[in-house]
Amino acid sequence: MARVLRVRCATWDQVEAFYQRKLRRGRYLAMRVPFAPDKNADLTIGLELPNQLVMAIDGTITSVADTDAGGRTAIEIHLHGMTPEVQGRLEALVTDGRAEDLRVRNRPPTAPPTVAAAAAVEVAAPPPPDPQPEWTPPEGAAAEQFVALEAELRRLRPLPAHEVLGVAWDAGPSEVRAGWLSLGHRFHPDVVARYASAALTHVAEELMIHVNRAYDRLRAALVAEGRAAAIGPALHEPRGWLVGFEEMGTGTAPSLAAEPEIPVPTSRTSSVRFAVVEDPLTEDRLFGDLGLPPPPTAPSEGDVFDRQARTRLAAGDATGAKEVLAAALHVYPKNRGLRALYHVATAVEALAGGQVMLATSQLEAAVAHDEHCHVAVRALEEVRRGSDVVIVRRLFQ
Amino acid sequence: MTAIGIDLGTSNSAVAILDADGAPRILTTEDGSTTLPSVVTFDEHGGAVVGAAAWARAVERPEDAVFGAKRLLGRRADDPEVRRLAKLLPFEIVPSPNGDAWARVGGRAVAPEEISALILRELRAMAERFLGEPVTEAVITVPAWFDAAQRAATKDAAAIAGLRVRRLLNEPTAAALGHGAHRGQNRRFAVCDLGGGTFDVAIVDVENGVFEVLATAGDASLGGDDVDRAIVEQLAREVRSKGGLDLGTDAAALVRLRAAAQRVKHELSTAQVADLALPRLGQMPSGRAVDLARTIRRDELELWAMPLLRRLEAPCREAMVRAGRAAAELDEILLVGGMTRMPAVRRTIASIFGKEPRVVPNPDEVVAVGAAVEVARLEGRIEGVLLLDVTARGLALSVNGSPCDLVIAPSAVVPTREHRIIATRADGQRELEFDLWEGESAEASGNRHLARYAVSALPAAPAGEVLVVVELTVDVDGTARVAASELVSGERPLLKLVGGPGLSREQVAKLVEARR
Repeated sequence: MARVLRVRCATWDQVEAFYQRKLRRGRYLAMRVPFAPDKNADLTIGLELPNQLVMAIDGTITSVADTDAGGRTAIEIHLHGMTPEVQGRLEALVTDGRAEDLRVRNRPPTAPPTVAAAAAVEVAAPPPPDPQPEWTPPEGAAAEQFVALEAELRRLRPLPAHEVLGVAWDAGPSEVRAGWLSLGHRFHPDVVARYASAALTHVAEELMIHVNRAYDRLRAALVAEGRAAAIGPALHEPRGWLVGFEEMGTGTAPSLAAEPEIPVPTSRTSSVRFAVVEDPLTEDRLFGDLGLPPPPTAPSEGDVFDRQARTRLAAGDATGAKEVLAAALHVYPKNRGLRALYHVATAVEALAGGQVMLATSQLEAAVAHDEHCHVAVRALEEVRRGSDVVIVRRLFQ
Repeated sequence: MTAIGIDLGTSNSAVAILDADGAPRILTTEDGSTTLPSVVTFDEHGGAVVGAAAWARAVERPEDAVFGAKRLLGRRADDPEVRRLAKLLPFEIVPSPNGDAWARVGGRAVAPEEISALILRELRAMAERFLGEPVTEAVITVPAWFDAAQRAATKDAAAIAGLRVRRLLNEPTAAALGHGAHRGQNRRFAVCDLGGGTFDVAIVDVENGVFEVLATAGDASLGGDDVDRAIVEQLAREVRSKGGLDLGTDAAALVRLRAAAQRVKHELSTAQVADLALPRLGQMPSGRAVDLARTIRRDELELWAMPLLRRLEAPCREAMVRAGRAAAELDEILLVGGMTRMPAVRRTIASIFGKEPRVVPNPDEVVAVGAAVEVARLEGRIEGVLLLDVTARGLALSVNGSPCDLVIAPSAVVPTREHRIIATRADGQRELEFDLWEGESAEASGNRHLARYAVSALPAAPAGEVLVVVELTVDVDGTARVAASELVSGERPLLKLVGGPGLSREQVAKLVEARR
């Protein structure tokens, strides 16, 4: 005959705490009992619910510690009766029970309770098992607030930090901050201070603690990634490391932020990070030989590299041209002309190695990037016609 | 259940309320002054006098007077800062049984909480006289850099004075609130608070009703008292060189001189010259009386105060750097504290920030008004305002002298909570002790000891099988509290405070009884 151990839950919150928090891996319950059971003995938990129902959950004792001085023994029970169905039933009961509680709480007292009724209530009410701080239940508008905030707290507790704040997992500093502030306006204990209800202040504080922890964690992550700077309670977009020393100027200094793009320097001179020899004659000769119109005279970003690469291609040094263009693309990743030229250079290199298929696809890619790249258009025509590398190379000479 | 707003200052305190129509009202002492000097004198029977009357008594019996008790709140006697102060303060600082800094006055050691409580009681009495009903609650302002222990001590002082603290409000936030920042558009403030004893700078952002103190800096020993001292020193030097009398040992003469110096300083804020006449200031050994009569010009005063004025710049720059703000990005410079009435102070601050500071009409009382606004906000009379604060210092935990483990980071947004899990170390260990530290260092010596706790009545189990979850919570006021529970059973074992600084609950209760 298996022993039955009664576990009394006075509130639905305690029922929820039982299956959500007390149970390890959803099945194992550790507790201290005032008797010394045997290992592997059967033990049934009788879970007394607030609505007088008792749910029986079967289990087996898996470990027994020594009995302590108070005659109590720490045991661990494997509750094999705690099936998903049982848990689902408990969850449903908790939901229903809470809704019922809410109705009772919101119902205005119709008549003063008689002495008998009061006595009955006293008998029915089990002693509060948790040493919670004492407070009087809030009334009226405060009660509504209390229920609303408590529901919010239950909703937010299991969520990851970004969901607590209601932002995407990769949200930036301004979104994280906005999410936090909007919750602060709703949940901060000061917002409910007017009700002067300890219970309400307590639940608001718990909510704010939860929200603040989420904010602090996201904030720390953003700061570690270099995407934000935390100053006091605030969170700012980083403005670089020169903040506060305005006389030193912040114009050309790179920011500490891990920007994915290298900042585009404003002046031409400072953009030349590679030893580039400018030779205006090369370009004239190049385009004169091809009989093509010269490129637009308005200087665009990366012209220096463009010219340099064409010079190399004309000299038959496709690999060198590729290197120059790769460096240029690092600085001007969005310059289509340079990218097209890079593919042309790759194609020339491929043709020299006899890889016609690769050359064709590279030239097609070049045209796709920049349809105005005349060299690429002409070279593609030549390659499709079956010309070899010498003819294509001549395009640049 | 009437609540008031209190500015508990180092050298002057003030109390304010908000009228039913929302207009601030600064309450006055019986003799009509809007500020109460934070001075307490004790007589031989243990009776205490507070405020201006205490000032008058301090002239006769300087050894019975306590000034600036706020500097000692929540500090240890062996704190380097306290030891430095001990040389400046006129009374003796002695360690309490648990190592706190107490003041020795009138033949007994008095806790700074008790002295602050006497001042708070006087402020409460001022409010009750005006309102005609008992006052039980208050919003009290504290410097933004006050740590958890100092805030807890302030709360204890309020409890002894019979006041329930509705909120400890940071002074820069209070200044901005008192200035009406919650009504205006979004602004970035620098609040410069030069009071009697301390200089505090804070960068405060107000954006859509959200108040944030971004950074604070300050000089804990720079204020009006130092200017007074500079005047006294200068005049005493003149008396010595002209009359040949050394006032250095004549305490009564120095107190008279100091009162006169303060009056002259106040007059010179508006006038160009001020007269000083102190007949029979001292006595030569021959019995001839020495008088002091002199006219002091404003430029003379500014010359004497110049070394002090120079010290204003460093904290301002530090606050800006910490907040990541250039001076040009600040919209307004708020001047708070009586010393900012001095034209030279305004000029100096204007040159530091490169813009004219905003002259608040009542720099002495604006912080108290801010506290009164906070009362109205907590009562729901002002909506849409949110005050956001961070912890001033980190909180760390250590068990059995192990390195301190930082649990709550500095500048975490309050309220916040973190936990650590501690395991037993011996088989059948039934009790577990841990220490709570304030600071970020892993070395105990780099931190400040807050308290030692003992968890007892743990279940008997092999070493490491009983796990205790220690939860540290920092509440909205910035004070810390501790809770412990056993991880496996979820039960709350007995948590006992073994020792630590500050007054114990019993001591507070006894003082409440004694002062009733």
